[in-house]
Amino acid sequence: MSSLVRVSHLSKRFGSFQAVRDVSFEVQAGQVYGFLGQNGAGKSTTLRMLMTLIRPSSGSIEVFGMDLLRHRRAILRQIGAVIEKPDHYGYLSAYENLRMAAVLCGIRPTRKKLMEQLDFVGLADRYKSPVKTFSQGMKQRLGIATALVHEPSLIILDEPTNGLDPQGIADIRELIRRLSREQGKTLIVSSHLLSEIELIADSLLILHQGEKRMEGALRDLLNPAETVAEFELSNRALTDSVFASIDFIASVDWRSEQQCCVRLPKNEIPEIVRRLTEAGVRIQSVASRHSLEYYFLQLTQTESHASAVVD
Amino acid sequence: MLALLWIELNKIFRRPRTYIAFGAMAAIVWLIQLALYFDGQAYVDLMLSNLSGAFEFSEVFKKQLLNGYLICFVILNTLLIQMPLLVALVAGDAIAGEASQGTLRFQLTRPISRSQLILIKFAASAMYVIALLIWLALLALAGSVLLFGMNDLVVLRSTGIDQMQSDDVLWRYLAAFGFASMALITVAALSLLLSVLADNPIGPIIATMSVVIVFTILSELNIPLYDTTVKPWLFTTHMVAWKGFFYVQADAEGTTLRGSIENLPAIMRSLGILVGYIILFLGTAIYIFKRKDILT
Amino acid sequence: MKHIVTALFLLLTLSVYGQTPTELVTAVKSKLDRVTNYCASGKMKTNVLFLKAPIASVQVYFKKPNQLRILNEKGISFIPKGSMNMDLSQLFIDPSGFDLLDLGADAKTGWRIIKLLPRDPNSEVVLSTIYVDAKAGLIRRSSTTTRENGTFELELSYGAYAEYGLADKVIFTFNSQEYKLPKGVTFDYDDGSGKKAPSDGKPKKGRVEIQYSNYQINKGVPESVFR
Repeated sequence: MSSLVRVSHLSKRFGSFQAVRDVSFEVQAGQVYGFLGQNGAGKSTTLRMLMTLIRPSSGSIEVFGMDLLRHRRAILRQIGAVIEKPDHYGYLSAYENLRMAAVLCGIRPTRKKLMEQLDFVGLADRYKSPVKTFSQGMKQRLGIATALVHEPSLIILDEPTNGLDPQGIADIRELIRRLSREQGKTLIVSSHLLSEIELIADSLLILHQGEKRMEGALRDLLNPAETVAEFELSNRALTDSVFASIDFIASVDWRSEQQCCVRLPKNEIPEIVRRLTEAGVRIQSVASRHSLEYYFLQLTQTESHASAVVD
Repeated sequence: MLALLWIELNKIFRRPRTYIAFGAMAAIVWLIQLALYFDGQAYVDLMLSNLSGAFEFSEVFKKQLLNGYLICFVILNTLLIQMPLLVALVAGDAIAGEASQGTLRFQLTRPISRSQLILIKFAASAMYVIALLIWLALLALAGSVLLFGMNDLVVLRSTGIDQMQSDDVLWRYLAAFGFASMALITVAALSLLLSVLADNPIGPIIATMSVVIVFTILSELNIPLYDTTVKPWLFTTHMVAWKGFFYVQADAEGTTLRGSIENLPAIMRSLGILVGYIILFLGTAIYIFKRKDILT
Repeated sequence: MKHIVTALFLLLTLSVYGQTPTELVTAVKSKLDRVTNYCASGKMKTNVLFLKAPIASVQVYFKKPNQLRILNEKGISFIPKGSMNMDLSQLFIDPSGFDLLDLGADAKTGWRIIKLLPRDPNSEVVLSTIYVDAKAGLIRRSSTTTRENGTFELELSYGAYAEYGLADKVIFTFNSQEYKLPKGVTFDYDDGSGKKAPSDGKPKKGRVEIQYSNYQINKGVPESVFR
């Protein structure tokens, strides 16, 4: 596989605010690449830099093996994007918006072709309606149609499921799957919900406070063999001494005097429960999460804890 | 490029509010025409009050004086000062309006350069200006001539009166409308520049009007210090140069020279200054826009 | 002796001037009295300091005793106040008559200079001076000072209609007042030439010149044109 997108040491500063700090990643052809992070983590800023909407303060972006800023037009001809929410001209119809997008890309598709594309996103029967009469989900789908109108090989979708109802979310998910599997497109999709990314992405990058926190193939990150067990129990000192004697524990993280998270192989949970019980530790509850969810939750909770302090 | 221009024009002319400008202009023109149709006498008396000591004015004279050409001149005199607002409504919206709607992203993530986009938006705004002026010519010139007939045009200036024969007027109007389009295109370029700086169309529209109003006041102020230093360089001073086409030359005996213009070089110089401003405004707009982070 | 000297002097003057002022004026007036109305076409040129106007084709209508109207049917013409003074019969219109004062002959032209002093103390005309070509019996020049409208001057050249005392060309000079409008009213285009309106305080003179052609004399003029 070859790298379609190669981002190195990308940073963006707005005045004194560092929005993105030294972020590097690569996207391989044919992948669905997930961008995960809370609101304000720097996802949109990074994607905007990829679309040349924002100039990086430092770092470089290569797309299709070319420098983005130097070969902007040639590269953008091959990228389709919906950044943040899709916005159209409300007083124009879906068809007209789509045709406008095509002209902006320098192409003149036939009516048949445009109707096919509207059909692909399920809007063929509403092609004449002004976009201002559309629901959020329909606008999102039209946004995807306009991003696809010039048949790009790389598609960037920024929070495509934001503000959609469950059916809308399912529709978009299905669209992304079809683009990837049936059409072999490369996609970069961002979301603040791990559950979303989990369902569609092959690879994942977690951004937090403008920095890259984690990157890798989803199947590695979601290693089924490893888990994080969350215990609620009685005696911290005793528990620590038990943990110290167990060699399959990868890490222990005390959240409070009664709460701790233990990273360990999934099949060892009964063993650790047995050892703790034997040592006389009272276990009130135990829950198992996969490690990525645990990690992301940790980021999120640190954040909400911090904001609670500010409040 | 033409396809892109067509898109921009489509956007402007498919928007209902674009026609508010056309409607507003028709309303103003019709109101002036209506007032002068029924109460033109009073207006003419006012206009001539300064002269009634030396001349006698018959009813026939007053009727002749209040002809379509004069009414068009009166309308241009009042309306061309107001038209920058109508131009700012479209040109000020060109970038900032799309930024606030989010459609600027829609455009800038496409393979067209930002300078190209500015130039296209400028061209579209210029064509809107021309459409407005053609509309104005239809209403104010053709409409007034139909309503009030054609006759010699008498232009009152602060220092004198210029009269030209009726068959020596139409070409002057064509030239004046042509010049007025350049003047308003200068406003469009200014508005576009301010539009690049903002993410909300209200700002550039108000800012354009503020600049035009402040500059116009400076242009009209009679302060000797400004006369030679500031005024010659304000674009508003030169926006009224369309009137220069109605300032005629006369021979030694005070007889109007047919087809003459009192000071054509001054008009050409004004035109040059306006073109200079257009290049300056557009150049700055492109320079800023190319470096602008699109955050909306 | 004294009487003889006076008589001799009078004789001498009469031999030099030929006619008494009264005779001259009567001769001129009788010529003018033959015209009760006329209509003439003319080219009018206006020369006023602050006015630039094209040469106009006008119709001039006259009807006794004192109706005169200059009409420009196609275009616009600024008609000076007191334009009725363009007709010479205006000079003699004062009903209570006038005293004549003979100032002798103009050294250059030989025209007799006669002053007409209205007897009516409330007359609008304060004083008229006429320059009479005694040989032709025509007034060549006149100057009328009025109470309200200043002084009008006429210069006349005669041709085909001399027998009626009607001129081919009239140059009418009148007092044009100063003209100035505030810039805030006119919103002038300031072309940077820095021209200022000439203003030296002297009364401004305006001039209207009409070159007549084609008089239609005593054919009747409808009253409507004077309205």
